[in-house]
Formats: sequence, C-alpha cells, structure tokens
Amino acid sequence: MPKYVNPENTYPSKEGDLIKEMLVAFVFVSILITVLALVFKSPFTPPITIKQVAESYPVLFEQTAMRDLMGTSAIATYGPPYNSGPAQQSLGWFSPERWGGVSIPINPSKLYVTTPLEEASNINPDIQKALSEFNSATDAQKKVWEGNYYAALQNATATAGTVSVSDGDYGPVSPMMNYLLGLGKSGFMDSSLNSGGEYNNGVYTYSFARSLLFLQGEALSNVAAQKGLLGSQFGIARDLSPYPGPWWLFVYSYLYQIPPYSTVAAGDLLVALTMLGLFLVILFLPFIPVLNKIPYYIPVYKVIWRRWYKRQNKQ
Amino acid sequence: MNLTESLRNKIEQNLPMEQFLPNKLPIYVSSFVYMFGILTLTSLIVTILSGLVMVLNGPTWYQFSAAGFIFRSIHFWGVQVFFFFLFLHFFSVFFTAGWREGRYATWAIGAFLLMFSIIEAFTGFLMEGGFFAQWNQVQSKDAFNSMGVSGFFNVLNNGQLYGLHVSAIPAVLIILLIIHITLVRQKGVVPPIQIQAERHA
Repeated sequence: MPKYVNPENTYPSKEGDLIKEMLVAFVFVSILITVLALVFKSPFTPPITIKQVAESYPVLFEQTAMRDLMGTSAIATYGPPYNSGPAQQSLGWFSPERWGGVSIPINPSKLYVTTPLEEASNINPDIQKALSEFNSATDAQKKVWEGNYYAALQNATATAGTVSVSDGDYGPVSPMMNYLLGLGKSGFMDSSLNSGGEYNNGVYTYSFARSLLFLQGEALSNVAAQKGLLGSQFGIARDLSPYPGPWWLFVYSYLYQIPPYSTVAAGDLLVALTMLGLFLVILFLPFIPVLNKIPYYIPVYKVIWRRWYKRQNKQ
Repeated sequence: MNLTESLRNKIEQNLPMEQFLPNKLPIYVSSFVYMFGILTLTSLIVTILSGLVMVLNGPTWYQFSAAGFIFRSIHFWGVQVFFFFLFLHFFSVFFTAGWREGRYATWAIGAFLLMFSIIEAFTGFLMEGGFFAQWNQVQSKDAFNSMGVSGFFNVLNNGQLYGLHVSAIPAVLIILLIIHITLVRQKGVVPPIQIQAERHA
C-alpha cells in the first residue's frame, strides 16, 4: 500500500490548534445561545382542542361534524392514506400517494359522529333512541335529513353554547348533533378519539391523527389566520411573531406561493418533487456545468484567501 | 488474515494521527470563514446536550417548569444558531469550490447532512407541543401523504415524531458528521484556487 501523503504538506505551514479553537468556539456559542434563551425565551401557544372549538364555535363544530357525517369533508374525500378514494396528488400515472395505500384508515362519519354517540349512549339512552332511528332509516331519508340540517346551519344561531336552527324536517339528525356538541364541549371527543383504545387498551396514546384530522380545515385555519400562519402567509417558515421560525424552510414554503404549485391540484406532490430535485442539484453541484463555475464568476475566494494571494504576488 | 490488524493498518495509512489532529496547518488557512464549520459543530453539540437534558426529564418538564422551559429555549435558540452557521459554512465552502481535488465525497456527505438537519429540525418544530406544532402537522401532512410515506412518517403521530427526532435522525446525523469530519481531516483543507488556472477553467 502506498504511504499516505498529506495533501496539505505541499504548502508552507504554521502553528495551529484545532482543539483550542473548538473549545473557544464551544464557549462562545454556549454563551450566545444561553443569552438568547434567557432574554428571548421560546414561543409557546397552547394547542387547540375539540373541546375549545365546541365551546367557542358551536356552529362551526356542527358544520364540521355534518360534513363528516355526509361524507363531504376534506378527509372523507381525501383518498390515501386515510381512505380508498381516488388519490388527489397525482401527476398522470405517477402517484406515490396511491402506491402508499391506506395506512391510516379514517372513516369520518363513523369515527367523528356515530361512534362517539354510540359510546355515550351507554350513559344517556336518549342518544341510543336518536341513533337507532337514524341507523334504521333508508339512505335517501338520511340524505334528506342531513341536507336539511346542514342547510339550516347556515343561518343557525349560537346562544349560551347551544345551536338553534329554524324548524324543519331534520329527523334524528338535530338531536344527534346536539348530543355530539355536548360530547365535544365535555372533552369526551378529544379523549375518546385520541385514546387509541382499540390497541393495547389505549396504553400507547401517542397519535393525535384522529383529533387533528377533525380539527383540520376551518377550525384550525380560523385560529391560524388570526396568528398569520396560513400556508398562503408562508406559515411553516414562520413562527409566532416576533420569533424566528424555521426560516431554512423558506424555499419550501415559497414554492406554495407561486404557480404552478399554488394552482394545480397536485401542488403538494409537485413541491415535494421540486425539493427532492433541489437536493439533487446541491448533491451533484460540483458536476453541473455553469453552477460549478459560479465560485469563479463571483470571486468571493479572492477575499477569503487575500493574504495568500498577496504573499504569492510578493514572491 | 487478522482483521483487527488490517483495519489498524488501513487507518494508519489513510489517516495518521498527526493528520487527524494536526498542530500545523497550511498557511492559507487564515480567514474567519474557517470558523463557520467549527461554530456549526459546536452549536450542534449545545443543541444535542440541551436535548439530552430535555429527553431525560420528559415533555411536561420542559414545557411547564421554569427550569425546563430554559432548556427548551436553549434548544430552540441552539437550532437557530446552528442553521445560521450551517448556511455560512455551506456558502463559504461553495464559494471556495471546496469539492476540488478529490473532496467530492466530503461535499456529498455535507449535502446529506444539510437535508437530514432540515428534517431533524422540522420534526422538532412539529412536536413543540403548542398550536404552532398542531397547525404545521396538519399543513405538512399533505406533502408527506403525496409522497406515500405516511405509513412510517406520519407527522400526526407524536410517538413516531418523538422517535424520529430524538433517536433515528440524530443517529444518522451523528454518523454522517463523523464521516464528514474524518474526510475533512483526511483530505486536508482545500487549497486556494490558482488564479492562472482560473483563466483557463
């Protein structure tokens, strides 16, 4: 085996101490970071729960639940990985979303409406009565009740935390929604959805997918808009003012602001692929013509090595 | 063949100790830009140490106790300082064409380090425990769903995020970092661009 040749040995050298430099740098950044932390703290806004939405926006809560019951909510029509509808994020045949399959099954009408009501009917038999009437009705009848009630919610008023709609043919849907709102306000919905009760008696309660998928859409975006965190406001690359957020995601969130990303249905897939492409550009940059010559076109190196070039010129 | 002996010989031939921890540096290494890499590394160490204290005490401690919140804040600002120096390091290496003369592997590992750092910080922001995390969990799920990876990278599952953030991704980062630093020492600091050569480039 050839003897190792230190590539730096062909140049004149000087004394250096990497470990000392590192210790000095460590002390410097430790002080800098600690001072920043003590002076500015870190941002924290308490999370939103279904309970809060039910209490503060009862009409919005019922509208969300109704869309889930009718199967028209964003999650009901999402497709993979939540249900088996058509994938929304496809570029022709290229659809990793579809290939990923249904890995987190969500049936919104059951999960967010009928199951919580069934669970609570053990305590309140009146709920069982309304639920039985609903379950034994024909699909056509259900649709009429649901459609009427959903339309009536447009002009609903909320007084003292309850929703009042004008009289109409709602069948058991109106009492079902009232009961569900009560479950939401009691905090039952949050704990029931997130309990993971069907797995290992709920010992592993880590996933908030179910409650977040109920809240996603209008409920959360109402709060986000108030805080200036909407996707159209560079949401993810910013934190709650005045804190710096993950600014290094600027390019990622910028893509969402411009066409075609902001206009096509498969915008998320297109953004993900573009980011992958940008990574490949960085990875292979030394081999990409023009890009690998930028350091020569913009000679920042002449400033960085100015002492070396001065020394060279003298010689 | 003695595997231990051949491994030792390989290390001694490819990266002798005087090159790994030199007390002499080439004379062209005289600019503050050479500090950016070390500052990135040391701010990462501060961030990892504060993260370790947080992991040992648990989320309710760092979220709701005065002492815990200080460590949460150190972790938060550690990441900000880390990325600040990381990008300075990235641009200084780029503008010195640091991949020259057999240093492409160092650059490539650096590119992977950049990507994994972004994913690591991203998972951290998604489990900061407040509204910001919730909101960005539901916002970013669509991108992960679109790539069909939500089975093993479900951003709505705090258990999965926690595992990714405190063990899986840091393990990858630390391994890549060791390779990166070893390569930097083995290949030596990239020499200045020869101005005559540049005209013919």
